[in-house]
Amino acid sequence: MANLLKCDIVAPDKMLFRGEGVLISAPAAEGDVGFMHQCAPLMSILRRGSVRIKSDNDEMRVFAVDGGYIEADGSKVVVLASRAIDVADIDPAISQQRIADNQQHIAQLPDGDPALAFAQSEIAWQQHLLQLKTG
Amino acid sequence: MANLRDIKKRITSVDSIKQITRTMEMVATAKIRRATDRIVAATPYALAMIEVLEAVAQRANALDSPLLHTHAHFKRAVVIVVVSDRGLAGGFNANVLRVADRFISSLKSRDIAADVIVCGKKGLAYFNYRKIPVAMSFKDQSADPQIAQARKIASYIIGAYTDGSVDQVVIFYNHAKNVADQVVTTEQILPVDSYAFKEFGEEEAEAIHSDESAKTAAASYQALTEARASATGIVSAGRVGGDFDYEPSASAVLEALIPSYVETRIYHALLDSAAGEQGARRKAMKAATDNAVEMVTTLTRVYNRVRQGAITTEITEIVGGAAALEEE
Repeated sequence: MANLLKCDIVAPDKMLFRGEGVLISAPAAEGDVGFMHQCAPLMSILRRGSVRIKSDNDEMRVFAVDGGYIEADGSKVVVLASRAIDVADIDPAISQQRIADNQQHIAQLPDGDPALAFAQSEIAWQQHLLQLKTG
Repeated sequence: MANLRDIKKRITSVDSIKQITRTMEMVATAKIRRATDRIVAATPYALAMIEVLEAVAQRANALDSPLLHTHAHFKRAVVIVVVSDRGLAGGFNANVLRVADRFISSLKSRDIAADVIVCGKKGLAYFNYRKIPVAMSFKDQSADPQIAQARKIASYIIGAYTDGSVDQVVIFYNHAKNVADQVVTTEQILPVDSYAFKEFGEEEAEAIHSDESAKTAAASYQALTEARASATGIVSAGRVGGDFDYEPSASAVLEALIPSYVETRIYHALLDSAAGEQGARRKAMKAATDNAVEMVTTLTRVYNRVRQGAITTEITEIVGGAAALEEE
């Protein structure tokens, strides 16, 4: 298959995906970008969003990413996600639980606590996951 | 002469200690493998990040980032100390704490204040006892470090370094050189030394390499080979394309990458220390088990000698008694 693009999705603690795709789209800093075989080399910061990999038999794999970097050189795409999960692995119950936990946590924190930002970003991330899961 | 029952009691108690230490040794052995697996899993990201960093650093003026600037005045440092939550690991904690303490004292003698960030209960207890203020502490995570922990530390030190309240950040941890040996390692996290990118990458590659012996022993060689193959695969991807377009710009990408790099370095120190902790514990428990075995052997020998002595005395008495009767 000459027109396939290799793709790796790596998170800090593990490699999430290694495979090939015909079309790979990612949420780059200045708008969503699609990559195909022989595309121009690009290195970009990622926003929170989803990386979609369309395989040659039209199957779609979707990964939620929470920022990071993407590097593409025409034959290969490497996604360095600061946090990522396969959308198929998202459990809405767990996400909702995390949101509730963090909201409770925020209520107890004083203003200006550094943990506040972490809790808020966790809530936003979990909401993003829920949104991707439910469509 | 100790009496028989006392010796018997000692043998039984040493025997049960031996059982405990042997179990702990086996548990630690199993955990070493888990810890090494985690390092292997985290390596592709680190390698890929170094690769990207190097590429970007060539394009952007690396000195634009505040995290690469050395501050003109050196007034305050942050010392990150990574130890374990539990003891029974030989000199694992004491070694790191001693080196860190000496470093803090030397800073003080030069009128430089030091904030301490502690990972691990043992370290917290140590600094609390010595009344050295702790800025941030983590407990119950030493055996299973999470990226979130590294992220919290990184965001704290980056914030403090950027606003100028801190002028240097140093981390102290045990580097798991191999399954049996841990080396106390000191690294400067901030200001980031741009020449160190490459070094860190090489270290990571070497780490995979040195893990190999441990892994072969643990008989999961295949997983490692795969991880290694995937890591090198990623690295080569960066080398192929030379002229990248950067979005939004090369310096913006670099600006965003450096904090992640700091985070990754801290995370790796935590992982390394976790692997070292299990290694140290295994070694300590193996020594304890060996000592217990030796002690049981010695005690059994004493027990037999005492028993034989008692029998001999008894026989002498009987023979003596019988001889006295015959004479009558």
